Formats: sequence, structure tokens, C-alpha cells
Amino acid sequence: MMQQQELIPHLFRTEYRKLIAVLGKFFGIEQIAIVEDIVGGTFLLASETWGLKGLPENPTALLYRVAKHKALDSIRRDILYTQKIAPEIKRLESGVTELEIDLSPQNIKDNQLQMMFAICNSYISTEAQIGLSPNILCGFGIDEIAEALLANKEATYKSLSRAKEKLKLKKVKIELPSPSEISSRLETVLTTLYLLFSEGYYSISKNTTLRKDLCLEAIRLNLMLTEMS
Amino acid sequence: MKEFLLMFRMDVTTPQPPQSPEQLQAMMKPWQDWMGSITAQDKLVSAGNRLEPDGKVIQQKGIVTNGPYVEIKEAIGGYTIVKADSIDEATELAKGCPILFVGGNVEIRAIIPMD
Repeated sequence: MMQQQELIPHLFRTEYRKLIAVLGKFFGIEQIAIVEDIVGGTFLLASETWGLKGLPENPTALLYRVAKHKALDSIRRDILYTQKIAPEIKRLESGVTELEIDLSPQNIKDNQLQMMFAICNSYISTEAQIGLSPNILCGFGIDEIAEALLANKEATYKSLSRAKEKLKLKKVKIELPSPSEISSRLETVLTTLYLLFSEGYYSISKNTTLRKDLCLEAIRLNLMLTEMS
Repeated sequence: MKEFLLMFRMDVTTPQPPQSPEQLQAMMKPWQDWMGSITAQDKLVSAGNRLEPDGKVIQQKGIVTNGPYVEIKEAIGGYTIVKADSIDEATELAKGCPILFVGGNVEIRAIIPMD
């Protein structure tokens, strides 16, 4: 049984990126800021609720449920989405209250891979990809990324925001490239993962835990890629 | 023993910055400790619930507004029911509530028994 005091950081490490990938795919990359809010809010509400009511039997299942509710609320609240998700809204009005947000292991994995290709994209600079990947694909916070890359927090934040804005402007789709493109696109992904690993491996940052995490994450993402083929 | 409703009020209008997992864990801990101590004293009636920050208010003549109260910053964020011999004892229990350390407050009200 996991120590209670490690539960949230553990769940955050394993589940944050999954929720970001699936909801990111669902809402589209142009709504990534909203998706980050939803997932961040999910963890906040879970921590508050568990503090009051004790831990649930299956914390992961509960996180997924809360995230779905929050996604649903967000859609209901924001009229901007009606165009994009109009058919969904119609279904909601017809009495269907569950959204088709698929949090099955297979779909989580698929969406994570698709997200990897969306982020490791030549539209944004390699430097920005190296910052954005740990943020979106691994759930690292701005502070951690800045520390790992030995950059100033402010600058890191701005660079990530610009990169997200660029993905939005270019209307990057969260999907796998077509077979004809895949080898050239894969090159970009592999370069970024290689550099991500190097950042951890060769960094002069004193935070060894963080450096190790970065290496492990790069390995994990690589493994996911190899499983794809 | 009488039952008392503890209402947690807090600022719901200021958006919270994203918290790191360690911060979230650190936030959860005092709540677990506080609830644990009430339970250990066998004073807990219901752990209660957390509430969404927004809702609706029905005014006179059926006018529905978005609420709870847009003009004030504080809203009820959650509640718990405890039992105690007196409101003073309930107040003592409430003094340990972690919401007090993050700028919130607790209102303590005796529940009128109906049996």
C-alpha cells in the first residue's frame, strides 16, 4: 500500500499526462490552456475532497470521473465551444450526460503518441520542443523545467506560452502523421527525445532527482514509440 | 450531545495558480489530520462535502441569478457536521480547521434537533 503522503505526487506523475493527452485530443491543441486548467483543477479538487472525506478505494478512477465532469462543465459554460462541439451539445441536450471521453488504456496510449507528434513539430523551435515536451507529455511544472534546463522561470514560461500559441496558430492536429510523412516527422520526434535525455544526462543542474526523472521520461517516451511500430 | 454544522467559507473569486503535486499533498495533509482528530474523539457526524464555487440563487418572484453572491468574494466551499456538548466545544474543534490558515473562515451553527 502506498504511503498516503506520496499519493498525490505519484498520481500526478502517472495520470496528469494521460489526462492532458486524452482531453487535449478531445478539445484540440488550440484549447490546451483550458485542458491544463481542467486537469490542474481536477487534482486540486481531488486533494481537497480526499482531505475532507478520506481516500477513495480507487483514486485513479475517481480522478478520471472528476476530469470528465470538469470537461463537461467547461463545455457547458463556455459558449465559444458551441461551434466546435455543437453536435456534442445537441446530444447533451437530448439527455445524454456522459461525454464520449475515452479514458481506456488503449486510447490513453494512442492519444499520448499523437500528442508527441503534435508537439515535436518543426513549426516550433527545437529549444521550445524540449521545454514543451516535459510540460505536456510528462507533467513537469514550469519551475522544474526551468531548473532542469537551467533557464530563468520567467523566460521558460514565456517560451512555453509562445510555443503553445504557435501550435494553435498553425492549427496543429493531434494525430499520427500519414504513412508518407511518418519517417520525416519521426526524425523530429527522435531528435527532441534524444535532447531531452541529454538534458537530464549531461545537465550541470544540481538537482539529481530531476535530472534522473528527465532521463526516465525520455526513455519512457521512446519505449512508447517503439511499441507503436 | 448536539450536532453542529461547520461551514467553510473561502475566497472563490481569485483564480488559484496551478499547484505542484507536492503543494497539493501538503495542502491535503492538515485536512486529513484535522478530520482524523475529530474522528478519533468520536465527534464526527458526517464528513460533509466540498461544494462547487458557482451556483444559482432563486430570488423573490422566481428570479434566478447566478450566485451564490457575486458581490462578495467569500462563498461556502464545503461543510462538515460534528457533535459536541456545547457550541463552545464545537468552536474549539473548528479552530483546527485548515481553511483558517489559507484566509478562509468557519461558521459554526447548532443544528436544531427535530426528534
